[in-house]
Amino acid sequence: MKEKSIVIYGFGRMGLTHYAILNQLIDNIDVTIVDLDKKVNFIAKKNVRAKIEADNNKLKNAFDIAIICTPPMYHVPTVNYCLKRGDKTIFVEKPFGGVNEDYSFIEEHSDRVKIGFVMRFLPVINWLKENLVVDDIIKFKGSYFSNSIVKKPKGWRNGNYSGVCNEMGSHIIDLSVYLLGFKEFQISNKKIKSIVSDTDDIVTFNLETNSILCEFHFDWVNKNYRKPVFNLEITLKDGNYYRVDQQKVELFDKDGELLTKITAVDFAATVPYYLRGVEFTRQMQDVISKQETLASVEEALITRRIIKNILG
Amino acid sequence: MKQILGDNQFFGINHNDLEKGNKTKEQFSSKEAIIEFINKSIFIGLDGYMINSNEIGFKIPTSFQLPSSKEIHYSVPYPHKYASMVNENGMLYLLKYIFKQSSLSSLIFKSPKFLFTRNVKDILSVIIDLEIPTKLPKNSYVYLQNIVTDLVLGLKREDLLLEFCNAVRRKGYKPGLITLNPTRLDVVIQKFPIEVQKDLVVCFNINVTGFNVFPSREIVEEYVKTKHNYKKIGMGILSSGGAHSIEDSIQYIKTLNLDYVVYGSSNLKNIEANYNALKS
Repeated sequence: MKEKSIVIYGFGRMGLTHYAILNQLIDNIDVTIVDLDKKVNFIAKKNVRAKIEADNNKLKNAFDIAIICTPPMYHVPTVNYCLKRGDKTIFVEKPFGGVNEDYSFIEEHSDRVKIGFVMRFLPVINWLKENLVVDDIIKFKGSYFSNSIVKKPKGWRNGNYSGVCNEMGSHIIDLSVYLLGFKEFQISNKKIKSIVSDTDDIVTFNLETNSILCEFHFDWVNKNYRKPVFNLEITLKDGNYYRVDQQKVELFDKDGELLTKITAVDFAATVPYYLRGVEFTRQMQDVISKQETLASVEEALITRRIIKNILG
Repeated sequence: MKQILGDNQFFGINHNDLEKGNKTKEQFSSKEAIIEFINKSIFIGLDGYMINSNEIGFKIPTSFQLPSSKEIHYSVPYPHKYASMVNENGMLYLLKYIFKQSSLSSLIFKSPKFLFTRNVKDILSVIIDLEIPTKLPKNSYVYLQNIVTDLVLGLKREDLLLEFCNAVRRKGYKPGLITLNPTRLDVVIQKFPIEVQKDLVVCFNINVTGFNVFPSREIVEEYVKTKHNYKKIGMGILSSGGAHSIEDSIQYIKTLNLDYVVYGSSNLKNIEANYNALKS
């Protein structure tokens, strides 16, 4: 007897990653893959041990888990369909739709929907969540740099569902929502530049909330970076500050002297199956268990409102 | 136990400290700088070097000659090139790229079956042809990078791993599989023909701190201690420079009876110190 029935919408890089991880985490799974691209289905049918379907309307029975990894313009209609079908858990990849969608039906059923901001599952972020006292924070700086875009992208990746804010900045904005726990905010000093694509390639802005000043800087056309790198700098009332990247947390005093350093080696995080990063497996483990760390609809929509304010 | 020079320092990779990784990359900004460092490491006594098939790494093995007793461990593919391609243009673009870059003879003789079966297994040798320099010395090891090995494991397409090994052997090289999930991979390899296992080397993380050792240091230790038909090479043995003590790391590795270890550093003095400590 099959243990879990799973449907995966969109079989690009993320669909493939989540499928591979779930295939290793769960002993008996019954997977259906839905992708509108006939060429993807053509190849997938002969290479993946799952049912392949192009027409979602044929799938009438509720699934235990729906994983939505389509381009973001399909997120909202797909989630709505899964909710109406009765799927028990619906996981949607970030950035969760676009800035002008109607999320009302999803909000009514938000207990069954979670959004995949995977950086929440990094060991450094887990440490911050457990150790930061929000009332002590006066400043939060978040940045994300990469050289992801070297040529003008094609299709939707060069449109208003894409751009550095949606694709990468949304991670950092979500971390600020997750760590600082705010709902209301004010945006100022926003600057947007298109360099390679026709959409936003470099974005900077300030955000104020609960007496905390947040500064953000996203740039995905920076040739100095081989791999995407994020940084957080969190300043406390006593002048001490944390510097954080994927691999370490450092605490400095107000004069810049290093007080404490905790690295990835110290965390020594483990998972039963590793693919691309411990955070990807931990995210899927949360999907199939307590769902305590995954972003809620409410939190994801705060990020959405921030991005809408920036991009207009 | 043979000692192989790793390549992370050449390409700015440091799994524990990103800034440190970026700094070492500046030291190795040319092919000549990399070759010089490799030659000096071999002179110290290392048994060979490992290099990835990225833009610079692809040219290294055919740019200079190693003594015949020394080994080349060559890894394919270069993950970031393909990841960028997929990010920007989607997965099918990757297939189109492969067809576009392949030689006519490769396409005529190796691709028709793929067009009929659509099974990726039937295009693997075309992909391998793209990634390996034609004059890579025979009997070199050719590894599949962990991002691919572990993805294939996750898809439960073990036949692709066997086909990779066979394709590499047909070309006159020895197959290697890099993985971060060695115990899961071992279950798959046990089903390979013995002659394939005997040629094979499996590369995985193992170190005293358990950093990036999955599912756990204790389980991987047991795996290492178990006898297998294939060779084992330990990587990440110094916990990417984050270990409490290099001496503790090396003493621990010496208890494990690995066939090979691979390690890197941007400093030749460290290479020499580690080489002597592991040898003693």
